[in-house]
Amino acid sequence: MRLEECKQEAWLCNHCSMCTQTVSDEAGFYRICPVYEQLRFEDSSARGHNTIAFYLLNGTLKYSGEVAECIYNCTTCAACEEICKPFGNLVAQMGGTALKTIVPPIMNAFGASFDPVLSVEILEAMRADCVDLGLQPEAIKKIAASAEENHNPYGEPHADRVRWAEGLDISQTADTVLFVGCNAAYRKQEIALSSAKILKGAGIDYAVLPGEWCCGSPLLRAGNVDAAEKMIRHNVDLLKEKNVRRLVTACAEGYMAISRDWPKVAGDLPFKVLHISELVAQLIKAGKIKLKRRIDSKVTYHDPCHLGRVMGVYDEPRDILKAIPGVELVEMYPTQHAAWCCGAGGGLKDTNPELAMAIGTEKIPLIKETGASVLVSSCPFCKTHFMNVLGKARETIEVKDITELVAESMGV
Amino acid sequence: MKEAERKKLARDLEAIVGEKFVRAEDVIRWTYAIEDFAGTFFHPLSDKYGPPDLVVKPHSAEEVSKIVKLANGHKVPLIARGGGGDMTGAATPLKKTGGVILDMTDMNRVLDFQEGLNAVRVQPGIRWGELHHELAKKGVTSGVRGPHGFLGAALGGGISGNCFSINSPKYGWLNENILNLQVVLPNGDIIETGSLANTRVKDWYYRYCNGPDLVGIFLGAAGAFGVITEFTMRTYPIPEFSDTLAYTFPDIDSELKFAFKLEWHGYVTDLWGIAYYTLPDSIKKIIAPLVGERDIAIFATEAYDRDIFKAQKKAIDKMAKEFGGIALPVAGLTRALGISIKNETEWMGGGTFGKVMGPNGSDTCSIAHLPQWQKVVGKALEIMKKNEDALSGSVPLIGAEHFFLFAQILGRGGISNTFAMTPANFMDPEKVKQAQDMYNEIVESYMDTGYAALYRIGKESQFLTKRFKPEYIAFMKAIKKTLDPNNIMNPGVLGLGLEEGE
Repeated sequence: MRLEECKQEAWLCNHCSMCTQTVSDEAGFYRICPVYEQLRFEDSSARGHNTIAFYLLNGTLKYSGEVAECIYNCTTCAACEEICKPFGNLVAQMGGTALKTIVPPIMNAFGASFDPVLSVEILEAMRADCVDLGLQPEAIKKIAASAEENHNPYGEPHADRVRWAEGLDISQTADTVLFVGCNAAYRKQEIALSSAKILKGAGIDYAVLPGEWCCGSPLLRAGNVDAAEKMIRHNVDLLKEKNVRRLVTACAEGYMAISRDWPKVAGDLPFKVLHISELVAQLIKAGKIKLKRRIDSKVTYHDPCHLGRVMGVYDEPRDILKAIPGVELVEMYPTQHAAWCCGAGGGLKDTNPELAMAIGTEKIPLIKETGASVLVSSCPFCKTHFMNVLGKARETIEVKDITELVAESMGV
Repeated sequence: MKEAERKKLARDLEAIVGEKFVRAEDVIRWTYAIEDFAGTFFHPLSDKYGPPDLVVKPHSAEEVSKIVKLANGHKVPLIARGGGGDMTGAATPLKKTGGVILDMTDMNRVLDFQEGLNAVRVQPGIRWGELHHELAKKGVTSGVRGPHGFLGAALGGGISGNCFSINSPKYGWLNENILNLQVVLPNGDIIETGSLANTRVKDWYYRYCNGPDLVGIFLGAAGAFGVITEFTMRTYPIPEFSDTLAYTFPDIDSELKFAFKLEWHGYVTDLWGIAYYTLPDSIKKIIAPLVGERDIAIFATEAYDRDIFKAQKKAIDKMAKEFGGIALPVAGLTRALGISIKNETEWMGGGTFGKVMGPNGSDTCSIAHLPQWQKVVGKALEIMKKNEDALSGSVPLIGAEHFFLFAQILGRGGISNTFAMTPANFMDPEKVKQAQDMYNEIVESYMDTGYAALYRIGKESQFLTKRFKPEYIAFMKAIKKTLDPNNIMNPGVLGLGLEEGE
């Protein structure tokens, strides 16, 4: 059982219920678990998942279709881990993100961990066991089969991966690689195009690799560990072979997987990894990107869970939006570390699309409350899902990726 | 419960609350077989808890009433549960009885707020954080701020478990703030207490009228006498001026006397007292060079008027000096950092317990009368030192030490809450058994002082009730028998609802 590796972690959960439903005005939280908010029983919260893990580990519960259904109802948004962080409220009051970098080393020096209970890791271990036992939902089996055959989760031919770039004359060799990711390559190609235009407009010598495969994140999140490792190894070998020094991606999911998960499989990476929002923010500061055109819009920003909570990228996208002439940035509440998930993460859009839509729909009043006419995110999955959610609700709010706004303002 | 019976009961419950709100699969049953980790696994009855037969989510008192009548017909135990953070088995069935868990967390609305009456009427499934949020919108506070910042805990559980709270030194325990209750009795009748017993009263909330105070029977009863479906509680204005202060004292006796007097004069909102001699050596090594081998009191004070606030702080300083107190410059530091101990900063994140205070850390809590505090704590400390080996393998805050103990002194009437942290290595069954035995010994020692009287009203009540006078037990049993002849209301709590020796 892969869950055995998380035994100590599962025992560390105090079952205090904060990850189930907490509101804290001081720390900016207004409710935590998007799935619990919909399904309303404890088995749909991190606390419940950790309890299930505990009973699976001691043999009281056995893996079954019921267990699988329960643990696949999760967006892996990690809000549960955010609320679980030791001394989280104190840190939030004393300086927020700045303190988060100072306190952990101090705590570590005293022999104490600053980590929360890693509930998502426990969940993903249970999903991996489900895959080993063949209990995963059909949608997850299809994704794994497609990744094996086509190197993307959508069943699209690999040959079409760079079709979006036809006629752009993009190099296949450079120090900097734009890792496009499956969603932008096959679905939200406007994000791939905008990203390419931004890099070109900023005078960066970059490449796009036709041999790029799925980053592995959709597989890892769903428990397809072996398939994911195959993708990761291929990509790392390819990037090493091309002597890449810097990898840039516009995908929040991919950025998390490449930064956090790839080194676990392939060891230290010989290249720097950046989300495009980090690079663009740097280039604006350095004067290498000029945002010339006004975009007169009231805009609100949705923090992708895996870019924000997991990777800690909150400021750069906001710095970019504030730098665009005419853009008025209005924050939703809750936001940043406490932002609500869009509902698409963790494979939920594939395994339980109705639940994913219901979670996304919950966020509409938060968006509307800002008075924004444009919802911006920096993740193709979030964009796709919000377009579905707002479209179904017949809302006129436009959904854009941050790369689209930047390219527009650059006039490229 | 046999499968056929469970299916029949599920169908009947679905007819009351709807199919979506009744669950009976193994995965959900076991999810509800646990409370706070320490409560469920560390305590001596841990092997006696089991999963419920069904979990149901009611949405109104009328639905609860129908469920109670149904449970009576089936003679099936009912266990009301909120956030599920209890530590003494109040929200978990006994393995031998099973039962139906009423997950009350969908009954979570603020029903009425009366500014002129300084009261709010809410449903019991509301969680502390949500209540603070709703009251803040109205510019008021509940005064008591919840069980040490566990903002996901529901108020219904706090009422049923006699919850003390952050800010209790000024505002009292939660139940001192309860005015009226709506309760579904074990026969399914829905009653309202205090002023609401009068059919002419709809929105006037007062506890002590219309005869005896029947609210009290249901407070701290862990659901033994009925299911609370609504309650009203006091609200207070939000104080404009507040500060965190700290003093050191030459000995614990001086500190306790200061804390007692401070609270008696109404100057303290919340207070943490640290007794130097109870600390592990590693923490002593940090504290001694900073403040000497002295005991520390850190506390919050607040007022509604600037002049009164200034005068209050002056009076506190005079009072501290009377007991040999030396001021620490905590106020300036906390102001600079933007924190205060009177707010929710006690909320530390669930991971604090597992990963900072020691993996698998548990805690023994005791309520002690301040003048007797040394007697209660001294005995516990002796037991912990004697059993230090039981705690080895754990990694508490400062690494090498195997235990630590600190104390919070709070509550009107000079009541203190004492934590004896007993983290153990849960990967080693032998160590767990040793730690459990030590835990039992500590609780017994607390109870033997007679000054420990709050905790253990859940199914861990054996520690408490075996020390009750026979006439008192007989009185409680008579109430139980009258109200709940079929023993369906959370059997086992307060030692009620089970046969002798069960």
